[in-house]
Amino acid sequence: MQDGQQSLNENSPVKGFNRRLIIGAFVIVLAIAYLTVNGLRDNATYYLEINEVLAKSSDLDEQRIRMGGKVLPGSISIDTQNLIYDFQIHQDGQSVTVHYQGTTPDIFGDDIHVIIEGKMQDNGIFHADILTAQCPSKMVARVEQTNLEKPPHK
Amino acid sequence: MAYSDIGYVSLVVALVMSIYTGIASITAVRFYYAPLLLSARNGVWIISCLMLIASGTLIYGFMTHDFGLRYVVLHSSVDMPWYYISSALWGGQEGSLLYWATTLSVLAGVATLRNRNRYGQLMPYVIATIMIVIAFFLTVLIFATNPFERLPFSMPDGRGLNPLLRDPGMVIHPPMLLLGYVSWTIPFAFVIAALITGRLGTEWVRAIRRWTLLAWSIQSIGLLLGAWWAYHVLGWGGYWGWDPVENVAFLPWITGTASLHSVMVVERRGKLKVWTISLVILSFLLAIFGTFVVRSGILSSVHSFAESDIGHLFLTFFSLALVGSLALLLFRLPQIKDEEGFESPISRESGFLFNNLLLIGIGFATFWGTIYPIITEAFTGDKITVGPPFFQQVNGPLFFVLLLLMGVGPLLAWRQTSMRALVKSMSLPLVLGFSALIMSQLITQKPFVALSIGALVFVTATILLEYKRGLIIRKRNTGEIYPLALTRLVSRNKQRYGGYIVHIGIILIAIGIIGSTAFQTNREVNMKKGESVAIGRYVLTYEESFSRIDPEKEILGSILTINRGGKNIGTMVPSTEFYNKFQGQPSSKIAISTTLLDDLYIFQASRPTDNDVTLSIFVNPLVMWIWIGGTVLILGILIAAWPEKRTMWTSLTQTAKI
Repeated sequence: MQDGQQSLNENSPVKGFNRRLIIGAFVIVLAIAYLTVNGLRDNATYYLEINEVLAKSSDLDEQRIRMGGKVLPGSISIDTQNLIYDFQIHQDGQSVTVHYQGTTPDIFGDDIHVIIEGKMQDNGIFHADILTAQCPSKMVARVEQTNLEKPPHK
Repeated sequence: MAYSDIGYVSLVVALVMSIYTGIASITAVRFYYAPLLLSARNGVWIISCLMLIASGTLIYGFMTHDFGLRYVVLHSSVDMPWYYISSALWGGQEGSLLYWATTLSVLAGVATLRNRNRYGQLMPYVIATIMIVIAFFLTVLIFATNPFERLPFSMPDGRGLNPLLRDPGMVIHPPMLLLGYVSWTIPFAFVIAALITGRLGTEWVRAIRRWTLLAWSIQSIGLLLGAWWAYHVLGWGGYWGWDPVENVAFLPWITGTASLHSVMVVERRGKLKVWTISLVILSFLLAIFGTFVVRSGILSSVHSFAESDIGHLFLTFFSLALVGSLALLLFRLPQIKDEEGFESPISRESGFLFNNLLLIGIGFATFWGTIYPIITEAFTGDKITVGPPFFQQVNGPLFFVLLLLMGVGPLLAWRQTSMRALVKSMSLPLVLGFSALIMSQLITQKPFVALSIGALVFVTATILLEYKRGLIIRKRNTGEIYPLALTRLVSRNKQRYGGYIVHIGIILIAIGIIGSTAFQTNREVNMKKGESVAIGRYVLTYEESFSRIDPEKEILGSILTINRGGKNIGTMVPSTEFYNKFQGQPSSKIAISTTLLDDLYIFQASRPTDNDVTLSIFVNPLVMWIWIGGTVLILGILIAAWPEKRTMWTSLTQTAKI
């Protein structure tokens, strides 16, 4: 691009061509900037805590959000035939009812920490279409690592 | 003293050697003292040996199940098959950094050997630059994450390798990708050497072309293998998820692709030098960034950055490399600024310029989308994620324009092309492209798909016409028969026609991506025993479950009979493996039946019982073409990079003389 800037200052015969080149490049750069900014506005999903979701639920209409919490023991009811899961997740004493259709990770169950993505409905039920379970292996690794660093004997 | 100290001592000696070698090679060239240069060269080779010894020591630790070594405990176990030892080697942070430093030292050795009689003025600085990079990695290995750290006591058994990594794909994908990152150091070193010495003529261009192509090829293979691994192991029916780790591997590939194209403008016209140099520097910086990101977990949250013990070291090195190369570039700017602009906006060189702009745009959008969550969290405290739709939405159109340009580019002449000549040579491909567009719109009713198919047909037609044109001229001039003329045509212009084959590979990959994104069907079903489910042209029947207990794992699977288009094609058995040591992390073995038309992809989503099983079933059209395209791409690279007979001959005779 430095070619163009230079020739603009000079009276070279190639000036006109390079102006067109710069305009073309400029249009591309603008288009990319527009696509990026616009895309981020549409596609950034906020991660909210349960209490934030409950507090803001009125202004969240139709906005996709992610949230996490532990599955309340005994709250899961499953319709195996249609793969529909209704359960509650809780965190810091507050809970939300979740409605989810799809497959679940194998470790999904009581007391498992899950992260869900979807939309809050007017009736206060969260309709999730993505459900992932926080993999416990990372925690295990950390515990074991600390154990390794601090030997029990010797 | 334990044998593993050999590894540690090798690292320390290698660090000292790398500092010596760097200083010696610069001193030698400054003071015209040849013996010191020879000594520096030997230094490079000694460092390669030391690094190989260090890696060998760690491998020995794995092979002998030395559970007194912390790294071995964390990444292997007694019952692990031997062929996964190698993937355990780079399964963690310490090992992969060791691998980085080792492969870099070997590449440095090869570069020094190959160029011992070439680039006399550049090589000392190339060596010094590489030595700085090696010294950095050795510092990290010695002072922050020592792979040879011993535990005060021996463990009875190790933790074993994460089940997700127990796959043949994982044995070759990470080393390829890391090697891709590593190889960016060599072109970077040549660029830095050229900037320092001010020898910015043609030498460095020749040198970086080959090394850039090498880095780019290795990284292409690494990315393809990664996609293949994700498709066969992760179970969500796709091969590319715009995950941060994928994105950072994609970035140097994108800037590398751009530099591979702009370097042709430097070679042919001596223009776009600043641009090309910046791209090579950027690719190297992104490779460092990628290595760091993959192993530090910074992208999951800013907080993990603070926790990581190598974060600040990498940040410091990255900043120094950035500031240093930028300062050098600014210092030499008056010398490398282009004398004048392009002659015409419709020319090969401006085609390359637009190609570069689009690629940089894709890189920028991908980079921004990847780090946006970190920046947002750092400044506002809000946690956000940017999902795949962002990347598809932004990069989709850019790739589309890039694809069109891939068709037009080869038809553009250097310096200037008249609009009339361009339209004339494009007319047939344009007609074919438009007919394909209209036909596929009528059939699929999907405008985006129709546009893409139109573009693909257009590009393919231009490439085939290029071949035809070259072939006819050659046959007319030499009277050779077609097959011979074709072979000679390609072998006399390897870069050009090899490059076209790479383009064909990209087209095939694009066909696979478009087909599998636009026409994927997915059903998640709970099946009772004996029940059948139809998806696409397939009918699946759940026959029964099975289970097997191995020493290190339990396997639960479901047996399905498959019917394709009314014909029984046998059984498929998706299963889940529960490793004793990784209870919380069941690992799925996906069943895939592949044809050129579509893949039937079955993921077992629940533990099967005798009564029922829950499956996630995908029909992924045309995925096979991604792998075929990948193979064609590699073939194209091989043709483009195949050494000239004459240079091979001269280098052979040179060796004989020595």
